[in-house]
Amino acid sequence: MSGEDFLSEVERMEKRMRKISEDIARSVKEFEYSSGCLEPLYEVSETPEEVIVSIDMPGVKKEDISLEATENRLYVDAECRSSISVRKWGVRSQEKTFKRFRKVINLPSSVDPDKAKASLRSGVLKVRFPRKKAGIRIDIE
Amino acid sequence: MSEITEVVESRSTVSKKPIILEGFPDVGLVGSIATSHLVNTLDFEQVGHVESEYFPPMVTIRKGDMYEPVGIFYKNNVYVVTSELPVPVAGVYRIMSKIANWMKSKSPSVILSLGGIPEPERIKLDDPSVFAIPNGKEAAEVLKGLKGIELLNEGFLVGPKAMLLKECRKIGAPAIGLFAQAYYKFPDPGAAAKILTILSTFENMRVDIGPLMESAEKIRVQYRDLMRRTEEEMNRMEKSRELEIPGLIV
Repeated sequence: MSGEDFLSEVERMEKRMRKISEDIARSVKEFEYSSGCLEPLYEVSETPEEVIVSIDMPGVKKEDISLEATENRLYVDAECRSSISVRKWGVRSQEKTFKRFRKVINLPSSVDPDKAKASLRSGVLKVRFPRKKAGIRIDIE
Repeated sequence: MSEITEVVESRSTVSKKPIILEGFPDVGLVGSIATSHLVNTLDFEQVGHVESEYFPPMVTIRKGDMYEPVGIFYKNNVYVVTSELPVPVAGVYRIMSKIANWMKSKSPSVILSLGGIPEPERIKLDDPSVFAIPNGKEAAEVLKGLKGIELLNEGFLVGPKAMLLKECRKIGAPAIGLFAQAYYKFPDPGAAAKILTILSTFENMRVDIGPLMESAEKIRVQYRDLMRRTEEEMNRMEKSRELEIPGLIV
């Protein structure tokens, strides 16, 4: 591949990535406006023993959160104590009110959902899943 | 076609050894939230903006008025450069170099780049620490007057703020990076409030952080979209390197 070909390939990849990002951004907003549910920001990290999911849900109380998990997914649904209003653009600007956070999060590896632990502090929910054992430990003689 | 990246001053200002703040979106949107609160609370006047073909073609509409998304504000010998757009990775060098040169043209006493430093255990911190990176001896002298700050001795700094500090050093403008421990991917008004507390050392930047903390939940919701956009750019810049430890011993 020549230098020019390589550069055009990089440009094409950059454009494809931008398009994917834009599609995701649009689908998030479409979901929010059609469902009345906000998609919370979240972060997934991994350690050798755990998969840790942090979810930002400002204004949510512990008793208003519903959490369900499988080996590969976490479902979160939470009601906001006070509704959140934003102005939506369109032919005419209109106010849209949101009352819930809702999200399905795919986990990067299989976990043991029965042993998950969750805590909420300052509106940040943290769920820790022990990883599902994929093999058995072998001691070296 | 020639490349367009320029700082446009729409109103003239008279300043003497001003302080210049930079609050581009970054970790936890700390700089953005802090500079927005400062500009709104102290009624700064917009005196210019940054134009670049690297930014998406957009304007901000507020109460029927049109604004540039990357604005320059001024009041009481303080300039603030703040943005509703993250700096795209492709334009980081060009944009920050232009901004550094404009800042230098104002003969500032110091340039303060405000941001967050990712802290994985942020959830446990009620009072995040603030770390500083001066870009030279002159900046280090200014830093001595600021209380409650730790020097960042080892680590990586990635992105527009790294470029600004580097460019300023290259052209001889004193600059300090001020970074509060913050959530990496969540808007963090608490970290922004901590930065504003440090800035209150300067009389012309003293603001009440009470209203900021009272509306923290609303701010976290409002800034979600900017955080998502910023996260995309941070990923492209390999921002996660800030969590790594430098390997070379010099």
